[in-house]
Amino acid sequence: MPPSQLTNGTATKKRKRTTALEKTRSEARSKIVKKPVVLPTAEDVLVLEEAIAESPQHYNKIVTLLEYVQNASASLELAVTSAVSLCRVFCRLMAGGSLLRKKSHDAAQSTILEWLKDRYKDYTKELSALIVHEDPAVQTTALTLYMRLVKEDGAHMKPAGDEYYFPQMLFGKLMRALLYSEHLDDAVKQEFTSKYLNAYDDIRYAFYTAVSGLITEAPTPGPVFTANVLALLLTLENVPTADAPLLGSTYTTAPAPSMQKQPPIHAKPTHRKLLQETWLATLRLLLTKDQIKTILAVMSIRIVPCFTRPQLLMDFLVDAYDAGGSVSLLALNGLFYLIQTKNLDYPNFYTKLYALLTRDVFHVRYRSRFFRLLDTFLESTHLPAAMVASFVKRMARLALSAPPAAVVIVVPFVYNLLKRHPSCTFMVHREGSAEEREGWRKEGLTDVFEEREEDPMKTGAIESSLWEIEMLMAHWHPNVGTLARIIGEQFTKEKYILEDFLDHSYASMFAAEVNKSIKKPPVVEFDIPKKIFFKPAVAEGEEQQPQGEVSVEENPLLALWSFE
Amino acid sequence: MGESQLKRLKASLRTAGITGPQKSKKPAVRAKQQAAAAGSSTKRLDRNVALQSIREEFNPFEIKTTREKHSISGRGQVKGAKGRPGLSKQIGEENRKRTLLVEMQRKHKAGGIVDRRFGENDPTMTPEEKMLERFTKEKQKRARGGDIFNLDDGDEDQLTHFGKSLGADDFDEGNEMMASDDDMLERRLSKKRRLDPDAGPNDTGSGDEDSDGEKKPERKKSKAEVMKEVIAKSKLHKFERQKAKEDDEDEREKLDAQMSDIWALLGRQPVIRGDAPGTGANMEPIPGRDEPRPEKKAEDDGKTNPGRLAQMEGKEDAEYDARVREMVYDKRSQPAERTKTAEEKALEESERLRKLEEARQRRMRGEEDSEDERTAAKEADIGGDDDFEFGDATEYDLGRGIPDAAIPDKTQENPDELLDGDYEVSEDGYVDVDEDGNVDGSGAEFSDDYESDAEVAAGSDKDDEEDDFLADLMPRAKSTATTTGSGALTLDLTAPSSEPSDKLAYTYPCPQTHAELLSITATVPTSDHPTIIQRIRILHHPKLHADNKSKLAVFAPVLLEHILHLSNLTPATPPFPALETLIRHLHALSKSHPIPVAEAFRNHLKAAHDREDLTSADLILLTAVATIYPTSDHFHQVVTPATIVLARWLSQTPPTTMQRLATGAYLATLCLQYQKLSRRFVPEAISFVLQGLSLLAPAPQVPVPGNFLYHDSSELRITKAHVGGARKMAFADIFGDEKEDTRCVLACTFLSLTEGFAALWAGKKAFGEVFGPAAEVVAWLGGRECGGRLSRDVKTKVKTTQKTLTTALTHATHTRRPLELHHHRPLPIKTFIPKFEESYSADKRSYDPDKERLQLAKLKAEHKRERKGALRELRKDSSFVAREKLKEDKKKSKEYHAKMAKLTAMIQTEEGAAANEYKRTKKR
Repeated sequence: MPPSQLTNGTATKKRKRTTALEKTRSEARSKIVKKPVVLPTAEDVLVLEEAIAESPQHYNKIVTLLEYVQNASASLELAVTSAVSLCRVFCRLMAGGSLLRKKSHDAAQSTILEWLKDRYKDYTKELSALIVHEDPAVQTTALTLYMRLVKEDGAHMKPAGDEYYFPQMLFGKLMRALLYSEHLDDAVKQEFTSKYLNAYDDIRYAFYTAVSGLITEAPTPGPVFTANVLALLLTLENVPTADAPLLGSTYTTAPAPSMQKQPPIHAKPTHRKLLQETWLATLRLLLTKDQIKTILAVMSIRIVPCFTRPQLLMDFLVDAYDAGGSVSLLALNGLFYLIQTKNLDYPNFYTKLYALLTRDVFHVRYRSRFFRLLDTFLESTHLPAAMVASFVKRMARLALSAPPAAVVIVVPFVYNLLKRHPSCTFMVHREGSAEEREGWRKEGLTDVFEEREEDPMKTGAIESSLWEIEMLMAHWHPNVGTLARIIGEQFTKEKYILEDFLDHSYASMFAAEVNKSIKKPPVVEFDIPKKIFFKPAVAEGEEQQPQGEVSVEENPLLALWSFE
Repeated sequence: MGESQLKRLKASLRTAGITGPQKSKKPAVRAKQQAAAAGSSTKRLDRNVALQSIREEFNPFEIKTTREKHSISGRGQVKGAKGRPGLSKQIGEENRKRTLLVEMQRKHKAGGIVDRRFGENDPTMTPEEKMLERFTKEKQKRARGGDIFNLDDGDEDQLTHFGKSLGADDFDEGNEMMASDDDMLERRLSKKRRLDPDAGPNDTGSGDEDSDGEKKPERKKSKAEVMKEVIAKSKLHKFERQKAKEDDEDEREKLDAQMSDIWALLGRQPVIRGDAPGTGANMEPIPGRDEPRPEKKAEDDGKTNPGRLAQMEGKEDAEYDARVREMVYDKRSQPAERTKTAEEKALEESERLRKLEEARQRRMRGEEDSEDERTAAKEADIGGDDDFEFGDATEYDLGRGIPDAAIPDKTQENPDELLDGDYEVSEDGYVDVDEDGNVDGSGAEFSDDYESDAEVAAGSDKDDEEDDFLADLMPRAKSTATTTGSGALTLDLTAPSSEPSDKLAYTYPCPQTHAELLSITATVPTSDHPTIIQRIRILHHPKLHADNKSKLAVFAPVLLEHILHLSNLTPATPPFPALETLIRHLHALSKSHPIPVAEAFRNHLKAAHDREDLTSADLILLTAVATIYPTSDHFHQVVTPATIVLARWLSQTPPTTMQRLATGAYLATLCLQYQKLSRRFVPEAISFVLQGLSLLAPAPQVPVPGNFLYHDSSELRITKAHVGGARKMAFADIFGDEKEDTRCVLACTFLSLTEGFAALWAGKKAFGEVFGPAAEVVAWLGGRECGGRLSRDVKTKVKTTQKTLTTALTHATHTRRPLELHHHRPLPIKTFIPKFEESYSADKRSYDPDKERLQLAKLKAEHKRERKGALRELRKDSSFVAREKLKEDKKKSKEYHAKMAKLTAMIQTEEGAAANEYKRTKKR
């Protein structure tokens, strides 16, 4: 194993250094002797590495180095240095063909080969252990070393008969270590995705295979695994879709173009199919609510394009839609996509949609997304008026406890619906017959709207009135109040473009007010109150009021709070 | 017409009878006879005319036609479709020659002779004809009527002078055409002068007549006599009038001359000339003074006409005029304003309040307040100032000394007494002080009556040395203030810091940054801060120095920052008595400097908006907004952002801790305070209140009623039957440690707030929708699961609230009616049937039913047309003038050259002759 075969730049540098060291070999040896006593330094490790490279006689020193790696708890630095050295050692061995069985091998050589292979396994095991290590720097180094091994393995360890070879076993071990790692750092994940997964077709393919394999192996893995898989899957880029081609880059050796049948790694259909299966397998995992939300949030832009048959997502989406809450809101988007393009039939869709209008709907982050979809669903003029009325009434009811930004959505929405379904305008204008009026005068009016009824066809909203909108006309925010007044005016405008009203918030409203410069001097209260925090002194002439001197109507602050 | 031009020409010549076969003899003979009768020239003339017309017809440039693109039936001939540009040009040219050219030629020439002789300008007449015509004309004139000798009735214009006839002239009729009116007059005058040398040049008109009368008694007698009589009479009258006037004048002068005696009799000093003119304001106008005249002169010139004399002197009058002019500028004395009675004052006050309330209502409805309305409000403000008895006094006092300010006695607990009076800065910047009924002269309190502050300080019984110190200090302070007034302000910044808190300095610089203010107030206890601020304000009153206004404008935001700083120093227990006074100072400042203060408020609101948890200062800030600005306005530059901050916090901050819950309760109270008058709906506030109640309930309610946002948490529930709950929530409870009864008290506060909101929005139609859930929440609190674990006070409160809500809800259901929002006029359906005009006419241009508008449009069109025409004419005129000028110039130059050539030739001839002569002599 002549060292000149190494082409690696760092290796040549090392070699120079080692030739310099050869003169003082005896000294070096004496250091090795001292080894058990004192903790070896990086230089010692280099010497050992050099010795291994020099002749097979020193192969035993691999074991020493492996021990160093194993003793990561004793000295992390030493372990890392040793791991790096070992990586170089094994790379050299692989490049030299020492790990490949040849027919010419005799028994002794076979023994050595087997021994070396065992050590190689040990080393990968140790590296996997390092990947699980808490320190992100160690993780990164271990990952780099491991991937280096993968590369060399792929390049040199091709079995004799095969046309193409990828070290799937080796990579699978890495994946197992990575995905089950509890302390996997974000930076490491990102490095793995950006350097390897997003850059090379073969790595990605191997990744999918490994993930599906791992999930089939253990259908209910721990939450750590799920989180890691999701994190990696969601950050994938350059995924082959219907339009996007493969990258065409390989990490290990590329298959020879002369090959009759290209390996599956390099065929787009197999790639996509595998990705789809990986996703499906992942979605079948036990996901937390947040994870589902994350998945749903990117569903239409990231996941659906990966699928050759998006209808396979149906189960997941329907489950999510039935889950209720903000998950349902998010699932709506994907479901809508399926309904629209894949002719998905969802029974009681509108009932479910109606159920989505919960007390939280105006407060969640996905508010604008939901209302954009809701607008699409309610756009049809063929919907029954009773149902549309239920939606209108419910939204109005919810708007009574909603922030102004949501009221701003509701009002044009209601306007559009009323305009589209003129029979619903009875909700804003109902004069009633003479008998009815008489009845109202005598007994008052009880609202026929059933708030708790789940079926939008049966709520009786169309018989009710939109008193809520009338209340909102006196909203504290001047612009919201003014906007609400459009319901009371003549419906001359064809429709309001909802998009303009969707993205408001307290912050945007506040900024709109505050960023305007003051041109006109603001009006100042003319009378300066005599007292602000304390009860006004009672003049002697006036009669003393008993106990609760200030009523809530008069001055709520003084009536309810004391500033002593 | 397919025929060629030549054929057509031939045909037309033939039809005109110029060419073609000779006509038969007979008609020719007849024609000859006719021609002989009419004159041989007529035939030739006819032929020429015919030829001319044919020529014109065949000249393509003579006639211009506008081709019609579409023929419209029934429109008839379009005006201007066919034109003869050559002809019209020629007509125009001729017109110009007749008018413009003449004018041009007459330019810079005055006078001239108009030749009105008969037929003089008619070239068609032969001299014989002219003579004949003239002769007949004269004969006719002579023969007309019987009054052949009456020259008056001549057909010439009568001469008049000022509307009166000058009578017939005595000139030859033959000359009348020669002379213009002026000439005739002149000549007549000269003639009269010749005849009547006695008559003056002035009385031409009258003298003329009688001389005429004498000369021709027969003819002129009647009229001349009448005229003479008339004139004589008028002269007489005039003379009499003059005489009477002169007499009057004499009389008056005499009386004036006796004026000094009368003065003496009246026992008053006669006004001596040269004395300073009276101040006017207080003096009654004295009639004698109107004509200041020296007595001596009047006596001296007693007999002569003094008016004449004055006129002769000239300057007398000038001086007098000057005096009169001066007096114009004197202020007229006015009656002093009557002291108003109490009723009047009350009336005015109520009127002022009414106006303010009206303005507020308008702002609340969001109507644009018109400018005059604003000024009216301002006027009301200023008018209101008069009501304060010390308005003027304050203004006056400020100039000479520091008004006394109360120094709070730390031993006194009553916050009312800690206050040092109510001062306001009205919009024009005066510091007004109104009396606080409570303020008494004893103890450490001083009346805020600035007028009497000195005597209060000195005279009242001040036993403690504090007041003595103040009394000692007074003069010094006054002198400092005087220097302030004169603009030389030199203050020692470090002085106050060395003094103890009860010995506050009297002069401070106007802090321009908060750091400066902090350095001033660093060693002073918080309770003294209001005094310092007051002194700063008074020292830097805008009346005292021009810069003070801008200084205070910077100081006002600093004051706000200080207020917030003070409240954040001790979050749980901010120094409320001091804060209250400071906020009121800020209020006063914001009246005079609204924009800087509003900007400062908005900046602090911005900071508060970005904060997760509101600090004590933020709460004080929002409270200050409620007192300083009218929160009922539809839109307000400060209140609206403040409400957004409030609402955002209430809606987006989950109440996970007691502090947050209490903060929310305070903010909800502020919402109630803000909407006290305008009663607007604040969903966030009621939602938070209900959420708070649900969270405080000892047992969780499932499901939570209503739609308000609910962040489930079990940490805030009332766990054990606490005692208490009767007291009010204290500000200290928000930021201080939780006390045993805080939760119960908070629950009571929330219940009160629910009641408050219910009362606030009682009239709204969606009352049931909003408060139905509230009733359920309250009912749960009073129910079996919770009731047992609440304190007695809370239970009672729950019961009252429940009762109130039930009553209100029942009432709301009873009064509820379906919405009737769309009582609009139904929209007409759009029609797509074309509109036909019933009485269409091709000539009619417009079918506008509005007559006035139609007429206006017509007039406008006409004006436009005329304008265009006039411009065109002017352009043509100017080109004509230029052409003519050029022609004239050419002519002149030609003449000149000809003349020069002639002269040269002459000289050359002479020269040649001379040369020849010379040669000849030489030869000899």
